Amino acid sequence: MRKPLRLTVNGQLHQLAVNPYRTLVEVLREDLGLTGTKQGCGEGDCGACTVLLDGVAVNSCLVLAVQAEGRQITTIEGLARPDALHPIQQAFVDHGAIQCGFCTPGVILRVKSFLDENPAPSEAEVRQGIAGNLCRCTGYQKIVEAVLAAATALQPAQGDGP
Amino acid sequence: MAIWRFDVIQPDSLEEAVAALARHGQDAQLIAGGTDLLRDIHLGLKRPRWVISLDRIQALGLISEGPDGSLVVGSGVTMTALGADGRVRGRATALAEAARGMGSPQVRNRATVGGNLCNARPCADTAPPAIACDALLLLTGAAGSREVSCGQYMTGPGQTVRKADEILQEIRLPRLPLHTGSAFLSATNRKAVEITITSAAVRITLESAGGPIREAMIALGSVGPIPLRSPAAEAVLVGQLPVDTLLARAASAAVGDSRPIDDMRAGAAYRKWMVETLVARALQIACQRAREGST
Amino acid sequence: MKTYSVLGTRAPRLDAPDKATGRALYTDDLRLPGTLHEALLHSPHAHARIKRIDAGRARAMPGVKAVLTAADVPGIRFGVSPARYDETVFARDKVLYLGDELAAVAAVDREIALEALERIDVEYEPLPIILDARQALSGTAPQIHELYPGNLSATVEQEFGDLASARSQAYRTRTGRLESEMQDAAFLEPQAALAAFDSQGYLTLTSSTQSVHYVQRTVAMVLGLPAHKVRVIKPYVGGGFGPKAACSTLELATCLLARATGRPVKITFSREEVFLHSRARHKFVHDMTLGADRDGRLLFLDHEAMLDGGAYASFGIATVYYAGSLLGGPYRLPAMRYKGIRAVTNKPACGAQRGHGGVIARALFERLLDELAEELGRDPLEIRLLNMMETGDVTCNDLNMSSLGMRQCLEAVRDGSGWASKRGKLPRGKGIGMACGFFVSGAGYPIYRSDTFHSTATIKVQEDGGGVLLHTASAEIGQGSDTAMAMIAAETLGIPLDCVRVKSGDTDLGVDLGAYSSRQTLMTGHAVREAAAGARDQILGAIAALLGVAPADLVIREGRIAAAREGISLDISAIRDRYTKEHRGWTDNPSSGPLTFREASRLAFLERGTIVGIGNYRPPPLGGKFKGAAVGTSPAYGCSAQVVELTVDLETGQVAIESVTDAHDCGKAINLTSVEGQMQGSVAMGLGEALLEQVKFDRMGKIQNPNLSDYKIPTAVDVPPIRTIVIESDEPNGPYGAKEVGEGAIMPTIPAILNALHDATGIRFGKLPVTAERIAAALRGVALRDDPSAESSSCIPKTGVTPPAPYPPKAG
Repeated sequence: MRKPLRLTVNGQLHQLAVNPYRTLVEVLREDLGLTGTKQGCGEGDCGACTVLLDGVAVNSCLVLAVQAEGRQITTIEGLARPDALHPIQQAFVDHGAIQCGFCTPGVILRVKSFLDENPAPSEAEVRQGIAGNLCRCTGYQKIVEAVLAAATALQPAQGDGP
Repeated sequence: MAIWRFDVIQPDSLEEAVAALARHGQDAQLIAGGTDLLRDIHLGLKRPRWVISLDRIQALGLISEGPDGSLVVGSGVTMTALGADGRVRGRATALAEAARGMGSPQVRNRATVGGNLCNARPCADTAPPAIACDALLLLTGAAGSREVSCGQYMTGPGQTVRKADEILQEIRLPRLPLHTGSAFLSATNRKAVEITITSAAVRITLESAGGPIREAMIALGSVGPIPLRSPAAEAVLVGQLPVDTLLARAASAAVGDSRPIDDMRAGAAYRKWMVETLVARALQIACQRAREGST
Repeated sequence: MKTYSVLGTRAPRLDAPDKATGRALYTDDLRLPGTLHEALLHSPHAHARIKRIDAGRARAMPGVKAVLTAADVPGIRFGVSPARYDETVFARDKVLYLGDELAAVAAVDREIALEALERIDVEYEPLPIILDARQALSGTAPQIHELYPGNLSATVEQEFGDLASARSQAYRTRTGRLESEMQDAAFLEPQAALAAFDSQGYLTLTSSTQSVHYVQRTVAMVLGLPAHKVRVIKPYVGGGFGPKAACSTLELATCLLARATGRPVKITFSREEVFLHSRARHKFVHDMTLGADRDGRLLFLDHEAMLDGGAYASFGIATVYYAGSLLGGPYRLPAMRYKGIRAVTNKPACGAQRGHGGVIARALFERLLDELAEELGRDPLEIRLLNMMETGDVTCNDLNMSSLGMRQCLEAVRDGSGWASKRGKLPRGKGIGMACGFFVSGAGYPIYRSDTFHSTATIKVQEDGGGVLLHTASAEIGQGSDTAMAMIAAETLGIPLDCVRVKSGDTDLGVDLGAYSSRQTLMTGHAVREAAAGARDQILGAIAALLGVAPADLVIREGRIAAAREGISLDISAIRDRYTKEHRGWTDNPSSGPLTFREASRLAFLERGTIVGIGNYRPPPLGGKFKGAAVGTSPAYGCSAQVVELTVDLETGQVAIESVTDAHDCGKAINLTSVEGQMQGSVAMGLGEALLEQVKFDRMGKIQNPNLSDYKIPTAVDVPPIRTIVIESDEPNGPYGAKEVGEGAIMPTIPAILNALHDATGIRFGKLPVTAERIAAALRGVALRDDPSAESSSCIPKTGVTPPAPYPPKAG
C-alpha cells in the first residue's frame, strides 16, 4: 500500500515510500529521523508538533504526509545557521525560555511564522500568537520576553544617519 | 486501538473529486485541512477506506467577487484567511470574528470553512454567523450544482443535506443592505483554543443610521443539535428602535428558543444564561456597527 | 550576603541550545537496531474479574514476537512504599480501573503491535463500579483491592498541642469545606521506555522518569535481577511534576518483553494513556475549623480530609500524611488535630503531583484565614504577618524552620503589588487576594526504609587538565538541576562554569533519589559541593606540596591559583615550566599571571594520579517521635507569598487573572533565571488547577476528557505577566544557603485566587475548579449538581475497618 512521496524538508528533497494514512509528524520522525519535531498528543491540541508548511505554522500530527508533497516543510532542524543559532533560538536561550524543552521546537517554529506575519507585536499579540502551543513548565512569562526580544533583534538595524 | 488504514486520493480538480466521491460512496470521506477528520479517525469515530483530499484544488482556496455583488468564498479557504480578509470583515464581520477565534493559530491555518460547515458539529463556529449573514452554499455533485441556504444546510449533529457525491464548493455571502451590522460572541472557559460552550451570531439591518430595525437575524450555536434561529428575539426587534431595553428584552426572549443539554463541557442552565448574555452583548455591538455603517 | 563568581547569576542553561535546535533526545527519539514496538492492553472495564485471558491468536500473528500476561510473569508486587506494594505488572484476577494493564505485546512495528492487542481474547465478568470515595468506604461497597478491606487505603490520626483547651480559648472560629477533583500533571512529553539486554545479561532501561534510582530498584526486584545488572538512564525528560517519580507497568513490561524477545523493546504512551495512568493529583475533600484569639492570633486547627486515591496506593500514603503535616507552618499554630483517610475506588491511581498533599489543604486553610481576618476586621495580609513564624521556630508537629523568609516574602508582595491602595477599594467584579505557603526541600526520609544516602556525586578531574566531569544520578527534568549542580561545582572549585561537564540521570553514576519533593537543589547540591571541595582540596594539596606552602595558603579563584591571604608569595615558575615542557607544540600555553586551573589540575594528576572528589548526602534524623512524623520532615523549608489580581465577568463568570506578584524564599538562588522560571511555572499550574482543570469520569468509570483540549491547562492567553521577587534567607542546612522552589511556589496560588474571587464577588468558593459556570451559578444563587453536599457533617464517613499495616518509616 506504500506510495512514492517526495517531501522537501529544510530545503532538501527526500524520496520516500509511505503508507498514505501516515501523518507528517510520523514520517518526519520515523522515516526521516528528524526527531526535533515532538509529538505531545497526536490530536492537534498541544502544538508540540508544529512545523512550517510554506512558512505557515501547522500541527503536523493533523497533516497527512501525502498532503505535504510539493510544499516547503521547515522543521526545527532547519532553523539554525551553520555557525550560529537563529535569533529566535538565541533569544530563547538567553531569556531562560526553555525548561524541559519539549514544547520548545514547536514554539520556536510558531514564533518564526508569527514574527514573519507581525514583526513588531505587543505582548498581548504575542500571547495570542502562541496560544496554540501549550507549555506546562514556564508559565509562558520568559517565552513572551524572549519573543519580544527576538522581534527587536530581527528588526532591520535603525541607523542614526540618513 | 489499532491504526486505521486508508488510501488517499488527491484529485486536481473538482470534477475529479466529485467522480471519486461518486465512485466510493459511503466508503469515502473528504479531507481538506484535516483538523476534524484526522482526529475522528484517530478516535475511531470515522473509518473511511478512501480519503479524498481537496488540498490540490486551488480554486477552492480563493475568495472572489461574485457577479451580483456577493462575495464568493471557496470552501477550502482556511479560518486564518477567512478571518484576515478585509472583504469578509467588511461584508460579514460576524463570520470573520468567528473564524479568528476558533481553535489555535495552527488549527486555523489548516481548518477550512467548508470543513467546519460540513462536519456540522453543534459547536461549529462558522455556522451561526454564516446563517445570520444569509450565506448561500453551492453544492456540486455528479448531477450538477445547487444552492442551499446555510440555514437549511445542517439537519442534525454531523448531518447535512449534502448528498454523498456532493462537495461543498463555495459559500456565497450576499451584499447586505446599508446600515447593517453583525457580531459573533462565544462563551468559553479558557481564553483561547476552546470549544464553544455557547455562541451567538446576530445581524441587524436598520432602516437608516438612526432609524429602527428593519431586519434581525439571530443564530445561536451549541445550544441545540444544529444552530438555532431565535424567531422570538427577532420578533421583539423588528420595527423597533435599537435602545438598550429593547435589546435586553430580545436577549431574554432568545433563551426560550434555545434547546441546550447538559454535557461534559457545561450544563444546560449555564448555556441558557449565556444565550441571554451573549445575545444582549452581540446586539449592542451589531447595532453600533449598523449605525456606523460597517457590516 | 556573600558574593559569588558563578552562583546567583543568570547563566544560560547548559541544555538550552540542544533543546532549542531539536538536538536534545528524549526517550521516544532514541533508536536501537532491531527494536520491537510495544503496546499495552488496557482494561475497558472499571471493575471486573478476569475469567479468562488467551493470547494465542495474538502470538500467532506474523510480526508478533512476544505477548505477556500475568501468567507469564511472577506476581511480585511493587509500588511506591514497601508497606503498600499493591501493584503487579499485569492485572491478575481482577482489573480495578478502566485502563488497568492486562498484557503487553512486542511486535516488529507499531501497527502490528496495536492490531495484536485486539487478538488477545479476554473474558470479563463485570463487577459493581465504585467511583465515589464515600460510597467505597460506606461498608456496603464490594472490596475493590484484595489488600484493602473496606476500601481503606490509609488512615492517619494525629494531634498536637492541647486542642480542647485551645478551642475553649478561641474568640472566633471559622469552619469550612473545600472539595477538589482529580487533576492531571499534563507534562508535554508522554511516558516512554526503551529496554535492552546486552549479551552479558545486563539490562539497560531508558525511561522518561524522575527517579532512575527508584525505577532501578523496582525493576531489579520484579525481574529478579541483581541491582548491579540493571542500569536505568533518563535522557532529556519533557516534564514530570510527580507522576513520573514511581516505577510503572510501562517500564516493567518493556523490560520483561526485552528479556522475553532478546531484542530492544520500546513504547511511548499516547496522550490518552497518560490520562489513564494518572498517578497525579488526588481528589480531596477537606473540612477545617480554624480558631483565633481576639487579636487574631491562631490558636488551633481541627482538620479532616478524605482522599479519593483510585485503585492503587502509589504515593498515596505520603499524600494523606502531607495533607495534614504541611499545615503546621508557616504560621504559629499551637494546636492541630488531623484525621485523614484515603479510599480505594475504581479509578486510576492518584499519587504525587507538585506540592503533593499540601496544595488543596493549603487552599482551604488560607481561605479560612481570610475569613477569620474578615470577621475580626483585620487586613488579611496583616493577620498573616501577625502570625508568621520566624527562623528558628518549630511547628507543633516538630518541623524545624531553620530558615524562613516568610515575613520578607509577605512584605515584598505587599509592596510590589500595591496591596494597600487596592485592598477593599476595587469595584465589584475586580478583586485582589493573597495567600502564603511553604514546602519541604526534600523529604527527610526515602520512600523505602533505609539508611541510604539520598544523593551521591563524583567529580573527576580530567587528567589532561582544565576541566572536570560531574557525575550524579540526579534527574534534570526541565527544572534546571544539571545547570545548578554545575554552577555549585564550578563555584566550589573556583573555576568557570564552562570547565564543568555534567552527566546525570544514570544509575551507573551513583545514587540519587531523584526529582521529587523538591529535593535536588539542597540534597544533590550538598553532595556536589562536597565532591567539588574534595577534588579542589586534592589539587591544592598537590600544588601546595610543589610550591612548599600549606594547602590552606592556597585558593582557586576564577580559574587561577591564588594566595589565600596577603603576605603569601607563590613562585610558580618552576612548575609552569614543567607544564610547558609537557606541552611542546601547543600555541596557547599559559605564560603569565597566576597558575591556571588548567596547569594546576594537570600537575596535580602528575603528582597523584587520577583525582576524584566524592560527595555523599543524607539528612540527619529529623522530626518527632510520633507515628507519621517522618512525612513532612525536611532539612529545610522553602516558602512563598503571592498576591493575585483578577477580573470576573459577572455575567459569564469568566475570570481574567490580571497580575500575579510572587515572592519566594529559596534560601539562595543558585541560578536566578531558573528560580524565576520555577516560580512562574508553579503559578501557571496553580492557576489551571484553580480555574480550569478537572479529569471527568462517566458512570462507567471512563475518563471523558483524556486529551489536552477538554482537559484544559492554561494557554499563554490565560496566564498574566507574573512578577517574581526572589527572597534569600540563607538556609544553614542548604548548600550555599539554598533550598527549594519547585513546589513551594504553587502553594499560595489557588487560595490567592479564591481570596481574590471573594473580593470580587463576595462569594467564598468551596469547590475546585472554579469554572466560569460555577461562578455564574453562584452569582445567580443557583446550586450546581456537583456542589459539595451540605448535609454531611464530616467529609469522612464512619468506617469500622482496621487500617492496614503501619507506614511510614519511623522518624528519629
